[in-house]
Amino acid sequence: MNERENHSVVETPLRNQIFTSLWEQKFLTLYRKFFSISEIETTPLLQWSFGALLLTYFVTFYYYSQTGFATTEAYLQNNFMCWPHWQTCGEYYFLSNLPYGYSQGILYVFLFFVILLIVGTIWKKDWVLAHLLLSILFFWKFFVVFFYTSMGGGNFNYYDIIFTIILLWLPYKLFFLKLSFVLLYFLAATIKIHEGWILGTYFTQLKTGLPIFPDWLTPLFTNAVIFMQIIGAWFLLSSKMVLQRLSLFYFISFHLFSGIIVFYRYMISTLPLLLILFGPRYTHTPVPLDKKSIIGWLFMLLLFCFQFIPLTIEGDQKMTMEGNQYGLYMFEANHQCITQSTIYEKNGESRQLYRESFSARERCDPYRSWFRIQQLCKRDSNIATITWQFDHSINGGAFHRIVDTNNACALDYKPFTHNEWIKLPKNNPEIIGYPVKNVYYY
Amino acid sequence: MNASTTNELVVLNFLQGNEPLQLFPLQLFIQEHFTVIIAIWWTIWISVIVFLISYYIIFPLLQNRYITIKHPRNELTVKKNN
Repeated sequence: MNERENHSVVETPLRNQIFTSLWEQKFLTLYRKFFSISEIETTPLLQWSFGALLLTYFVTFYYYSQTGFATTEAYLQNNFMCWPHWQTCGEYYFLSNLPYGYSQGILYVFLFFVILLIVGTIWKKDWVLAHLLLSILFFWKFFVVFFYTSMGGGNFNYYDIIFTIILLWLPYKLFFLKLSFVLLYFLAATIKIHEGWILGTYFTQLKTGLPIFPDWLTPLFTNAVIFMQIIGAWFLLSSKMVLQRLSLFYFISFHLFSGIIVFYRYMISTLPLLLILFGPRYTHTPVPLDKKSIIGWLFMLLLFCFQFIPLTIEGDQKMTMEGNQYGLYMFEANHQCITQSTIYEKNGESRQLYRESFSARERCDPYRSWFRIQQLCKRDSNIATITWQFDHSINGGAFHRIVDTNNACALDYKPFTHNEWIKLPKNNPEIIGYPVKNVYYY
Repeated sequence: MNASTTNELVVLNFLQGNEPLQLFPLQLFIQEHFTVIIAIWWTIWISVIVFLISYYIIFPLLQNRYITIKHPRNELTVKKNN
């Protein structure tokens, strides 16, 4: 092979060496054009973002691979949880994890191999193949987080999914990545305009208080966070470098500080991208307003819509938790709850179930208790009826008995509207008592 | 249990020994003006989004439309060619 031939081999993209037929190459060319992959090929910041997002998939699947919350056995043992919009998800579980089987292990080893392949394609600078392979990881994660189970969630996963959608499929990737990053701060502020953050009782109700700051300073700190999320975050997009750098410094400090409480997971989804998009190589990106950008703007609108689902449901979603998980919900309230039920069997016997929350971060969602009770009702034909009480306190306020029913088996749960059996203040729920200071841990 | 009179503590098993929450003077002050503060934050939130959408999306789009109406494409092309 002479030097000229050698040169041409080096220049041939990896995909064209693997997929040699005409229709395959035609498909890949169309794919590259349709998803604006040339933007990734020509923008180092997007290439770094690609790597940062890949890291989040590794961390997510590292965690998922060791759990059993979406396995056949979880379903059989009634140790699973579906989303309110797909309450029969467990019937479709098909994986088994150790000690019961290997299928989940095989799946996550396959996904690990895909991650390795992506690293290889990035090294070969074939962003079309990298894009295709990341799509595989994305679809599985999206399915698990929003459909397969409600136990694989967490707002950090929402961040990963939102940024991946933009990076993979939208045009004006860099602009919309930056905008969505800031928009998520702005939307997160909506859950903080509430007693727990304005009075700072989320943290003063913790036995350990806010890290580093004394308790008496807490309301200043929490209101400053609200201010920065509503106003300060937008300066991350500024063309005035002093303001941009001040905002960046604040949000780096904010994420490092919150890492003291939430540890690495949330930081992994936010800090690398924050530094890549707004760090040393930041340049102001103009606002795209042509036809091609419409899809990106619609996606931003969609984020608004989801954030407002809980706010459109009657009642305080921090207390009822209705619609809570459809938008960002991190640190929405400091929860304590007690759920107790009595199962009456047809033969006249009865037994009691009692459970208390274990941490301020446990969401105390009546839906979760309702879901478990419903599974009992469906599975055990000896059950005649189940009485159920659910007492919930937020941010150090009184325990309210927001559910008190003699027949929990007869209740339905609607995901997007208020469920009448959850008592609102207008229904005068009984006050059971007052809580003591809570603890926060994983 | 009487809803309006109970002050009983409900202590979860893992919280034995903890004190109940007591508000600090600053929190008591904020609590007095709580509804006003909530209204202020929401007003700021809405104002920010209205301003940003107007300044960065609606006005530029209207301006473009105005320019397009005043200078249709063929006119501009003719001028450029001349």
